[in-house]
Amino acid sequence: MIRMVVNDQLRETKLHAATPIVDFLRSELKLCGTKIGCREGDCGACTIIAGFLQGNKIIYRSMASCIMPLINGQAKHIITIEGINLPQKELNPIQEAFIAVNAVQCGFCTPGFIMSLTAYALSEIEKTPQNAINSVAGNVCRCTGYKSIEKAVLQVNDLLQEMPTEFDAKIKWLVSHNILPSYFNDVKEMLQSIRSETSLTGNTQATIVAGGTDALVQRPEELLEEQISAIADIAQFKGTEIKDNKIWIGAATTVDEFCQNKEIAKHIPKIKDYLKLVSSPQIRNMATVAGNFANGSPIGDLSVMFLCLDTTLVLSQDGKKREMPLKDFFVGYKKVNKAENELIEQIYFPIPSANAHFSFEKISKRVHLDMATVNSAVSLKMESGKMEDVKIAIGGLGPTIRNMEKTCDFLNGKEISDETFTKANEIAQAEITPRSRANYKRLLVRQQLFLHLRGIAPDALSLEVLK
Amino acid sequence: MKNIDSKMNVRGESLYLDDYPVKEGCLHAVVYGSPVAHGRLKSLDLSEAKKMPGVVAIFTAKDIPGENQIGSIIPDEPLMADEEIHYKNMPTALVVARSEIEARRAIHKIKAEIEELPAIVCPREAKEKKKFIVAPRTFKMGAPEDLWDKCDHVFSGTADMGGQEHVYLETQGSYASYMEDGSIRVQSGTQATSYVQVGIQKVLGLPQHMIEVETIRLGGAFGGKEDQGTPWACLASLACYHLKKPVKLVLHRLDDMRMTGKRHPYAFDYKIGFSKDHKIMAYEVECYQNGGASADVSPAVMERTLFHGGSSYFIPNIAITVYSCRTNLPPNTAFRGFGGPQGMFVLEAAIFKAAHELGIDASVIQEKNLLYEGSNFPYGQIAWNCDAKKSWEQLHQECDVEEVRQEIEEYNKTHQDSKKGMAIFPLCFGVSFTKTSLNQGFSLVHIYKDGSVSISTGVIEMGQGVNTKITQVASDILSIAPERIRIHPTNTTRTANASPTAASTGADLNGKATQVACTQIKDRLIKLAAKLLNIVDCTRINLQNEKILLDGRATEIDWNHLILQALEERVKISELAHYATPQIYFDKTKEKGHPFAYHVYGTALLVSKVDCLRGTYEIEKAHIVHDFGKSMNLDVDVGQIEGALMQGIGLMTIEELLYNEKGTLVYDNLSSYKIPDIFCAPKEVIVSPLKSKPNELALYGSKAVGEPPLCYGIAAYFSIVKAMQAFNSKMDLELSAPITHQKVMETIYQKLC
Repeated sequence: MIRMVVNDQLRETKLHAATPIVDFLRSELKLCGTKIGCREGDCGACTIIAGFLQGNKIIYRSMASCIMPLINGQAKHIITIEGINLPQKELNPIQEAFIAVNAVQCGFCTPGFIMSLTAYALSEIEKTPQNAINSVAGNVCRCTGYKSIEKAVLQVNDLLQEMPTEFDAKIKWLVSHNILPSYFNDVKEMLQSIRSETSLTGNTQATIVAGGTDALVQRPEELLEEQISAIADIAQFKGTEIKDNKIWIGAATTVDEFCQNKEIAKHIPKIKDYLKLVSSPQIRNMATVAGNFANGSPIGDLSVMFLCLDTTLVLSQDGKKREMPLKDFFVGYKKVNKAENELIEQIYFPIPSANAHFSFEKISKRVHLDMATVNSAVSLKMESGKMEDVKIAIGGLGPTIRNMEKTCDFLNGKEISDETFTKANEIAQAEITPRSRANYKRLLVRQQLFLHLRGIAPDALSLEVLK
Repeated sequence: MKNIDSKMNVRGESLYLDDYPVKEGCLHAVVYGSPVAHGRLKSLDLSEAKKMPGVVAIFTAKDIPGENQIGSIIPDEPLMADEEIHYKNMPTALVVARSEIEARRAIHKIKAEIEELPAIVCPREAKEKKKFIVAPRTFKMGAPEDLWDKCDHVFSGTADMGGQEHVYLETQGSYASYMEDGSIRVQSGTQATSYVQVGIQKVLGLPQHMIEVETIRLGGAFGGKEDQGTPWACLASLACYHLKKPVKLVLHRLDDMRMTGKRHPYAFDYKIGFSKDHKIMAYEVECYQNGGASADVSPAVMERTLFHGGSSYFIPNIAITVYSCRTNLPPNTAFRGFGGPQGMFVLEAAIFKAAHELGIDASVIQEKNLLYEGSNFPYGQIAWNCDAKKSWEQLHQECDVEEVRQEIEEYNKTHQDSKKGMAIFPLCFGVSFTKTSLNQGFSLVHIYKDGSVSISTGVIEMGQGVNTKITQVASDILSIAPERIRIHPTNTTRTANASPTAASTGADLNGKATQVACTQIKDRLIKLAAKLLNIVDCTRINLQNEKILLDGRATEIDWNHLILQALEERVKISELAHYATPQIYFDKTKEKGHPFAYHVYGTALLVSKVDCLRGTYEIEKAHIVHDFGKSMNLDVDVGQIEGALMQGIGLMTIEELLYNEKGTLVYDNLSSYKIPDIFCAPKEVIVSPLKSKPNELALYGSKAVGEPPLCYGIAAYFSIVKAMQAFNSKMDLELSAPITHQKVMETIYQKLC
């Protein structure tokens, strides 16, 4: 039995743990305001908000309900558009803003946008115009062309400027400003009443599911016939910590939690910009860092980043643990070096040194939130003007992401110069064998190598080397 | 007035097909699509699939009691593959189960034995093999073939334009119920209730009155549900007919993308000749339309390519030929613009190429050759109230084009990594169905005893705000509050034989019919009021704000009272009105006539910035002067412009519709086929109404606005190419849309890698 608070009511269901939560909401609860647009988390029409208790507050996040396994709703507050509607057909100020600036046409995507913005209001994210726009980046609209939506979003952002940041005060403010219905004042109590500690099931045959964002896209039908071992909410697997000069990330740490981490931001200042290219807020709020590795995608953006951060995985099965460098983990197209039910329990990488540089590049068909054609990450240290400890990880060029070892060997100990770049590119080109769209990918490898190096030494390279 | 649906929309209360409450025992259907693009179906083994849990029945072409035929223009489209398979994922069997997931599981157990035949995916290849959907057609004016020697400059070349997936956010679907008398009631996600009704009639062999089709609203359609809402309704009805149970069929996004047709990809060969002073003297173009496996609406799309092949220009000697080519792709279909953008693109490409060769800016040629008052279209219609030059000039007044050009030049001089480009696009789009008989609309208006009003028309609301405009019409004529008016779902029992909601004509045809109906009722009410007030001269009576005025002064009679009296006095307060666009005709034997009620003009200027290191781009600015006539609702109409612009930009830039040589759609889901997101929107969009006259054939003088502005997206393409040229002036000028990031990269570095 899975229990959760849906809007203002406690709900129980016997549906299978891997049922997409949208089906529970729409079919069983008849809450049809949440729409199904793609069933792969790419359109945002199914956006809901999930809240979980953390200490004395509820952490609310937007999620793509079409790829959220039901079990991950356990003991949470699940909010659908019906749950933010005011009684008596009144409109809340977010809904009013959408109408005022004509940001509504066919209306199919609209509840999703409104839920993303409501999640933004509920979140701790700083209320800036750019953050407000970013909050709806995972919602597509085919009718309006977005200009009116931008206006509505910015209006809502203005409205939120006066909102207090402390949780209880914030909820009170949102309720008193008619952005949320009054039952929100009582949700914490309801959640406390169904609070449950989850732990790993002893069932070694069960399929491990974390965020579910890959599993529910790739094999939704099969999952419904399997036993599920859900790890998303197991406390021991959550969080990011610094220990022994290393950054440790738990198996259930979401991409969002990872990039909100202040320690990470200190060492990889542009992490949030990079992640904006990678996935939508809804997916970042659900997907785990470890899941990106487990998927074994040849273009995994996070896998590329972590590969050049010298990452090690801690794998566990039946209480037995082993460690494996990430570089040995990817063995073939979507094939990884672990047993089926072996869990990536932890991930760690050494804290980058003060003189370290890290950069990420990605080219895809659409600039934001798209699968990479080629993606790459570079980390290196500058020691008296020379590159040391160069690591280049690249994706999109074969069955797995990989290190560019020969190119790295060459670059070690060199200064950044036109000559260095030209030679490095020759080596890199010899090191790769792209299969599809080969010319384009070779070109992208050259360009990305250039961009990485120029990012470190902006004046050392001239565009002439590309001609 | 704001869109009347918007309150329900923002509360998530609007019902779309998948939200309708279903009857108990409702079954769910999933379509099995053929695994190959072309072949002979030897056998279909359903035995294992039938044994799967929850499966109730599996239907194939053999179970069709009527005709296995749903082609709306030409009868060349089987509902389900029988002996031959014409495209990959062609519906071949229908699994009906207690739940969708059970039906989906059973699909995987179906085994088809197929003798695979070579597939044709390229329209040029189909043309070589003379595989045509209909015979080629040519629109001709003057004699371009005699002019080439007299031209000072002649250029020729090829161009390509890719197709586009609709990505309506709501996928296709239908829900069919079996009624007591054996009739079928279908709720359908269609733009054309009557097409669905006719389709089911053919497939089930039932008379049309036994089939009721209803549509509340669509979560986007853009043409994709004009003809292609029909198969899913027919399939659901087929199962419902046999099982006598309600059946729901809603396509999964993957099935929707793989099974349905798209905007037609085109290939072109062109030749264009100029005088010394850059007047276009002659233009010839051959267009190869990729029609897919069956006609669908391809012949009509082909027609609009012919009509818009001259775009916004007067070209005295012109010949436009279109080959509608049959290939092994899903039948390509209507999509906002409907062949128009393709015809316009190739001419812009020819002009761009010529300008490049001549060392001038394309805008020099564009401006010199704009249509003018009284000039001829190649199809015989004369350009009256022609605002091509006016919109060009208004754009230049509002936006200092020279200054923009200089700013761009300055930017390009000072920036090496990124370059900017600008392009202008003049628009001329004809409004009316090119098939004259479709230009009719119906409206059924009832006034009830309490004074509330119900309106049913043949139009489908899909976000374009047409029901809002119809509410405005009724509210204005009857002079009552909009809240008194309710627009009913579109239903074949209330409006028979409705034309599809397409060709941007929905508001004109159905709004005008509503205008007629309301006016007739109003006339009777005024007569009644005159009688009640003992007045002989009805012109002294008027309705205003729910009051009856005599000589402009309020009387004691209000709307409610008047309606009660009408019933008392046995005055008819219902009306079914019909509207047929006057003046239009077209003679296909001569390819001449007056097919359009009017034309919509406009001019757009777009500025793009290309990141020359990454091959990516953004649209910085779009300034559009658009001919609304006299807009009756700018809230709705500006939204249409902005949305169409973005869709047009998507078409010309990032949206890559790709089939491999086997006829498999390569990017077949929303994670690989990318439509514009919020970051793709131009940084600045200015939409400015053209100072033009209202057109009497447009509803309230407010010109149709659905499709024309999509064509402004063409300027995005050329602005990006201009920016690319600023980076590499020697690059090859291959004019092939969309200009994907890959094409940008490969083109600007082509001499180098």
